[in-house]
Amino acid sequence: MNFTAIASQVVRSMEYFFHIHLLIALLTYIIVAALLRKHLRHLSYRSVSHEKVPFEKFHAPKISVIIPAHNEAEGIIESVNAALSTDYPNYEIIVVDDGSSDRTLKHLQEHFQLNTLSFQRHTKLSPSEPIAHFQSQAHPNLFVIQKTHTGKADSLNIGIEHSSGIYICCIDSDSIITPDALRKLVIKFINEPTLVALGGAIAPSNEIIIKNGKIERKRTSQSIFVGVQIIEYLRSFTSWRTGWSYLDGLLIIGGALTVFTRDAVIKVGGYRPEAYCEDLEIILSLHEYHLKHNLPYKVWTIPEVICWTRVPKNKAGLKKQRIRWMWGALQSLNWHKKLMFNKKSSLIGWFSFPHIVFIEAFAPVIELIGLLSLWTCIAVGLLSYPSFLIYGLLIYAITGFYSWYAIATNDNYISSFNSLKQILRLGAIGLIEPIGYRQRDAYWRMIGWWRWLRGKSIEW
Amino acid sequence: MGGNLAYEWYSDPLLLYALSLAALLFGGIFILMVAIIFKHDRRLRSQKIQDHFVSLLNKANQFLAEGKNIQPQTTQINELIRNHKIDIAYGWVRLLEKTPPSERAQYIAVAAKTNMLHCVPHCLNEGGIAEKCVALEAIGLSGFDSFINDAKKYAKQESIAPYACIALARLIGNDSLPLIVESYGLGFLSTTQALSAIVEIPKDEVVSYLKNQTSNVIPENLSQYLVVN
Repeated sequence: MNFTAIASQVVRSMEYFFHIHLLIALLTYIIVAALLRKHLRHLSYRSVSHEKVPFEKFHAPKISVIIPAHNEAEGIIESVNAALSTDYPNYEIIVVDDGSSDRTLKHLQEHFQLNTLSFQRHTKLSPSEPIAHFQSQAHPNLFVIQKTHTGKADSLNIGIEHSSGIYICCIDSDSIITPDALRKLVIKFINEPTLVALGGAIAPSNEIIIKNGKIERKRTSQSIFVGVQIIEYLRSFTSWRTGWSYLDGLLIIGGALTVFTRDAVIKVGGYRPEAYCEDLEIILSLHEYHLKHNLPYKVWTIPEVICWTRVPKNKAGLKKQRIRWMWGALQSLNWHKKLMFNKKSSLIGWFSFPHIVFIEAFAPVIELIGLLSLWTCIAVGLLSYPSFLIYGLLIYAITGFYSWYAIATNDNYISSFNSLKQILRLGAIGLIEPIGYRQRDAYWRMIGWWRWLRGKSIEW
Repeated sequence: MGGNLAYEWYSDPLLLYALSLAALLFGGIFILMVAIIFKHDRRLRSQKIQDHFVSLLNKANQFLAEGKNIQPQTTQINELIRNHKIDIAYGWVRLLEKTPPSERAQYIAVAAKTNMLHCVPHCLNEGGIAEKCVALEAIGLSGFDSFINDAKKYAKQESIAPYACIALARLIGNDSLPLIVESYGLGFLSTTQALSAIVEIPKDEVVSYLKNQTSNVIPENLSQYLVVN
């Protein structure tokens, strides 16, 4: 057999590998999308009464909202005000100032008239000791804890320690929740007693303004840079995760908004302080704990609650975020590798976990190797231009289809757009995304991979 | 030269498969585009009809208070009901939900002078699940007693039961409790749906009902949330 024949066989094998990978991804997406469709259809006639459960008329279980903040002077007031505007009657808000060197604490003191207070721990999750505790004069259910800088996960643990709610809602300091969010989240916990963690859809807030607790989208067209991230968030955080929830195979809830039962989060020891993707890590811990002890449990994401969060506005910010996500994901997946092929849960062990590792975590590796191989094969004449174009077209069509499907199904989010023109523009951005942006994203994730393989730490 | 050197690209089965799949997906994108345009247009049109209906009701309400003739408004409302029954039912429910119970009577008085009652059976009998739910909402919020049996019929039907039970709680109060508890026991109502229905019944009626029962009729899952003291 000569070199050309061997090379041709190698290319053919690669083609088969590409098709198998694509087919698995496509089939999974079809299953997940079908389940999402089912959920959304169910929601369409759910807009009335029973979604507006009148909690003020009965014993509403208490929910504690924890907001860790490190140098967030710019957005913290807006975020706390959004949480305070909730229509849920029984709640407390605990802002944990994680050693901010800017005016975060000063702003909180000025806006909410804070008084010092002695505040007791209900449990012990963190070795850190708070410097001071405050309570708002204007809003007696708003508390602030000041501590030295130890990171987001540890700040969340401090907040959990001082909370008294039976549900713990962790939100980012640059995230905004709508007034009905807590009510909708608590409804799910009451109705599903085995639910241990719940998340909402996450959407970029860069193009919105909040008036009296209501979300309004700016009339100007969103920038392509933010638009691309909206598409990504719609595809993965909303469509993808809701579908996985239906399968009871969800492995991650976006850290911008996560609610836990107090018991569950304490059982796993709270957040792991050294985790870079603390949101993925804690959900994996919950899976591992409940599977190990044969306890019934559920982890869900629901699209009817939207948490609005700031996304990077420039390339440098996005690059840093993507490297951290990849590095953090690999760190957490490695810590919880026991979940792979776990006999106690065939779905998590044989489907979700292998999927997140082989299809999602390895995606940038496969994408970049695939791209490089294609160019190399073209250069050395092992692949024809029509083949190159056809494969390119197929990848483009798949990404474009995912994006348009996410837009078509996420009515709850899309209804925030003012005009059809804005929606179609977003769809058009979804068609631009596969060209350039996706490859750059894969490259950044590869940097995350490389740094993790070399054991090199990353910037937060 | 194809994906494999042994084939011409147009005769390579793998490439033809990839090309067909791409074509299928592009077709899908086009269908989704059309669906988005259609859905957006439908949403705007429905909103416009509902807004027009509410503005007519408000005007009629105002004229009625001033002792003026409301015939032109009722004619227009009837015209809207004839052409857009489902949109009107949605608009009606949303209006009543936003209106405090003490002020609902004036709207109901205007609606009684229109063909509003025709709208409900249409949605209930000819519509899908969404329309049935909205019709039941309208029945409960408007206090349309003539539909009590229809509401009872749906109290043990999946997806529709929550709306039927809330409507019954609003219409017949205490008498709906056994049905709510039964429907909850059969799994047609979630805990919060059952609670939403129960809290529509005046508290003193619930308390007296519980006192008169020899056994505890309300399951622990529900009673732990109820404020009956």
